[in-house]
Amino acid sequence: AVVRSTLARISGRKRRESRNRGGAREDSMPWVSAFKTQLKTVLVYLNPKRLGGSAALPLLESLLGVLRLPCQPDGASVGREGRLTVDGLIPGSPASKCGDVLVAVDDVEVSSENIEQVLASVLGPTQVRLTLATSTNPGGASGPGCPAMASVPVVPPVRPLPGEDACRPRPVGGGGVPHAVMYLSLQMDAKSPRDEEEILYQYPASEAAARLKGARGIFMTLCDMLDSVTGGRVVSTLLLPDKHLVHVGYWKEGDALLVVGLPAEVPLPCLQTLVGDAVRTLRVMYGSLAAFGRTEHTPQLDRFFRLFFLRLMRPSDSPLAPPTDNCRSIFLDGLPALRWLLIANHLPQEDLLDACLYMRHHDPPPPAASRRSVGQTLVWREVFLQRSRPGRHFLLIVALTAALLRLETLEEAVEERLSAAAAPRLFCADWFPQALSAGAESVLFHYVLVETVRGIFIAPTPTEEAQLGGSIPPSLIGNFYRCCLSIRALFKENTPEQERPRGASRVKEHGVLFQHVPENGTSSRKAAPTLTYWVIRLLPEPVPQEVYVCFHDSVPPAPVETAFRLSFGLVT
Amino acid sequence: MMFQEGSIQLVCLTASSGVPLFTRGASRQLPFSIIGSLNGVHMFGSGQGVTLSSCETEGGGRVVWRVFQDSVMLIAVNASQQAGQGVESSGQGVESSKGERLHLQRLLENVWNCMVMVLGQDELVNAKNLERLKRDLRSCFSLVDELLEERRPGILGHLTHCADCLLPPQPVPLQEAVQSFAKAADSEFGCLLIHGRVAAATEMWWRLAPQEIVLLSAVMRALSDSGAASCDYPVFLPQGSPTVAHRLLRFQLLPGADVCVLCGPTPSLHGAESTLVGRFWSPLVDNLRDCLAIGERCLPSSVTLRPDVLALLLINRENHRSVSCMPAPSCAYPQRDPPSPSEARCWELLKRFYIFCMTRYFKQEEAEGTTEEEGGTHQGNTEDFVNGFSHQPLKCYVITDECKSFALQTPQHQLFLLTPLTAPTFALNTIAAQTLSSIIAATGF
Repeated sequence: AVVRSTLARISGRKRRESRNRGGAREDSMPWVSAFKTQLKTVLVYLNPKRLGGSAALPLLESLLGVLRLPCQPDGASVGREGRLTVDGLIPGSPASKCGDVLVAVDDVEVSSENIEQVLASVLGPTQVRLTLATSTNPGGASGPGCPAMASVPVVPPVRPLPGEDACRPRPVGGGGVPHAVMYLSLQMDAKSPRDEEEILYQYPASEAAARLKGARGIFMTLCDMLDSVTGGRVVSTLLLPDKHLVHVGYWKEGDALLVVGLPAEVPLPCLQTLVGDAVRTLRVMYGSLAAFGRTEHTPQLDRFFRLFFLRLMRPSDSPLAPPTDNCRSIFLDGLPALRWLLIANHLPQEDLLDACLYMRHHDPPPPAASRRSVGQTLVWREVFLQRSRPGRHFLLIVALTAALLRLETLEEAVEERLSAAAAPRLFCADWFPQALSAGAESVLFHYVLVETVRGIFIAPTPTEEAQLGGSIPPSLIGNFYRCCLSIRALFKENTPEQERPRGASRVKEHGVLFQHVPENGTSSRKAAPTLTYWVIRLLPEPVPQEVYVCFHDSVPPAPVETAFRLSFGLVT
Repeated sequence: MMFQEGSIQLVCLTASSGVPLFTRGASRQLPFSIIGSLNGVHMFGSGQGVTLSSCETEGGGRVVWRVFQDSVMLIAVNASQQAGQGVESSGQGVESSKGERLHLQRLLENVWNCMVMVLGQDELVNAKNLERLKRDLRSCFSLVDELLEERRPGILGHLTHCADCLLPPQPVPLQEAVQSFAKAADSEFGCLLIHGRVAAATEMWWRLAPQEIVLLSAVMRALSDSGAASCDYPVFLPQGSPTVAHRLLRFQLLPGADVCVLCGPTPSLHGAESTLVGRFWSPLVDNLRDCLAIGERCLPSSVTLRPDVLALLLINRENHRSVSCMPAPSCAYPQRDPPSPSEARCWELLKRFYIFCMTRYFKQEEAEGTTEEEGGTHQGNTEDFVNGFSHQPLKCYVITDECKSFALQTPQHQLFLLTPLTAPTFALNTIAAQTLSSIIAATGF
């Protein structure tokens, strides 16, 4: 692995200077004084001779570890041209946070036009003085470049969400599908009759959401009274605004109530989990849900919930997608390590869940997307771990090759494991199906093994799905995941740890047989054969695990289970 | 907590003004302020263009609202079950199938139909004098209470909206007798009930809406329980004739065997009883006794069921009839290990399994003639999983620590059955298929 160690080494202590005593020529940089800004000077040791093969990279990045996003041609970048705002950081670089502006190098004023020239003039190993303008606005904008991400110490490069642009975000799932989140104060102050003052936060501002907003009295009343009617706190409500069916989930905290409304495509049992997870993530981020009441968090919360709804609802530009399409994402939503394969972990389980929830709700760009971003800090912020311990905690997420943490050795180990032919409990998708598919036609269509605690998730690779593509209809996978959702909901109601409602018995196994009758082509005389297949959750003993399989009706379940036990080392 | 946990309370109000008409169910009633709030929150939603349908609380508590014909609001409240409470006192498991949303929704529909059946739609929709309406509604209470309490565990029609049937050993003579008896009474609608289940009926009887047949059977059972040998009872048909009453003439043939006709002004009850009943039914006494001997099994002895069937529910999807059956009371196998659930528990498990399958995998076709009441249009959509599958679910099974349950669906039938834990899982499919084919082969159901 190429380790592009930043050659900048902080050789002197940072000397903070007030802007009145600032060394740089403030008067010549009028924008500096437009913000409440501090200038600081950093001494770094640069050695251009050690750059090696990375000459293709801008010197700004290779020498100083400062990333810049490409300038956008639209109005978003008005007023920042020429300025060297730090958009992203390679760990260990001298700028302390994104939004800092590089003002001068060795007292030579720099801009995007001349920075490469100035840096190129640094010939030998030498000490260089950087002047950075850093914002001191407490909790406010750290610079015009990153207005949305205010209070975080290090701002990750933010991937634009689908349908999001600077001026007017398109509503998720089209404007007509009702979905909304509201945070309502249950403390009614009779003295100030201001309208809507009980709404501490709401998203989005669509027409359908306004309908739910208008009905907020329902949620507050139900939350207030149902306890005394049925003897339990309200969990969910089924509503029909304008003939759309909406599930509403509740979360009460103190004197405030979080209400999340989603189209009924998202099954009710899943909604409750989703709301609980979102609440936990917000607590990890802000310590408590009180963050809803503070306007400086609004942009971040908007983005949070935009992503939340995006994950659960069909994107508006693919109206033809079958309704089962979102099932896969909802089902896999409960897993920590889906997009992010968990390789090793030394965190306690609860902390790992906190971190994974954070990742899931923020969806940082994958570090492998571009070679240039390798080694980049993705997330660096204070978090409030749910397993309470003294002290403050920070979450730092870096891409694998980050020099800061010297992770190269780990990376090699990872490569080794991933390329190994068979590694039980990690990723043995390559050889498992062969245990069953003896004939030319495969009879095992799909399978998932989930273990939330250890973050294990095993499923066929996309390549294998493609191989099977000829023999199974594409809708099968979506249907499979929807069924998994249903099965999981049943098991969840019946977990032994929880107090089961009286009269309910513990579920040990559950399976469903589906039939797919292919639609006849207009002219084809012989229709494709009807396909029948089981979706079953196995509960292998003695180690209980979450295993779902999908296989052809002609296979008796017993061999399937046996094959699973053998494959995953459950037989001792 | 306002009333005993695990019990259902039913509240009926006028939709426009929120005046309470009656409450039934739990022993302790909800206070008026709570009833007012429950109604008020629904009305507030309507004003905002949002229809409030149901609400779930921790511990399985639930509230379901529905407005019928813009005039009557029915609210069903099921109390939460507090974990760890009351298990000892109740002895056996609580009938938690009652609190399921599907069950409560069908309960509200049934109660409304029951009110229409007894009072007629006009009196309910255009009530001028609310005090009088309240008084008149008392005549529904015995029926409503039966719907709430489910006194007969093996009768599932109120839940399935399919007529509970008993398949007689020799159906043809009974069928002919019902036809000619009804004809002689100037009616096309005649029905023979054995143990509260339909054993034979005229063709026109089967053309009534399934919910009407289910409710008429309930009326017959209530009349039969009253002990009278014969009755003349006015009924409206919620779908077929909601504003014009018919006469329901009921005659007891033997204890547990009743025959009825729906007719106009003639004949008189006394005339029919003295001239028709003996003429048509005395030749069939032995046949009726054979039917009564079947008991809760509901299937003729020509149907041989495998011994590992604890209970079953078979539904004919085309004509909306059902047979529920408990072939071998579990006391026959006292030595089983683990012990099979009790009879009452089996019925409860069967109901729960039915609800489970219908809310997740199997769709129920709405019968023809079902009226589109307010809120009725969305009834089919309210289930969580059932509508989202792109492929058709045909079978499903659930294994719990009490028993194994298996369901299958063909274009014509739905079968739900329970087996003991001793039945091997891989054999469930075969047991179900054999059970279905042997019942169909022997009875043509």
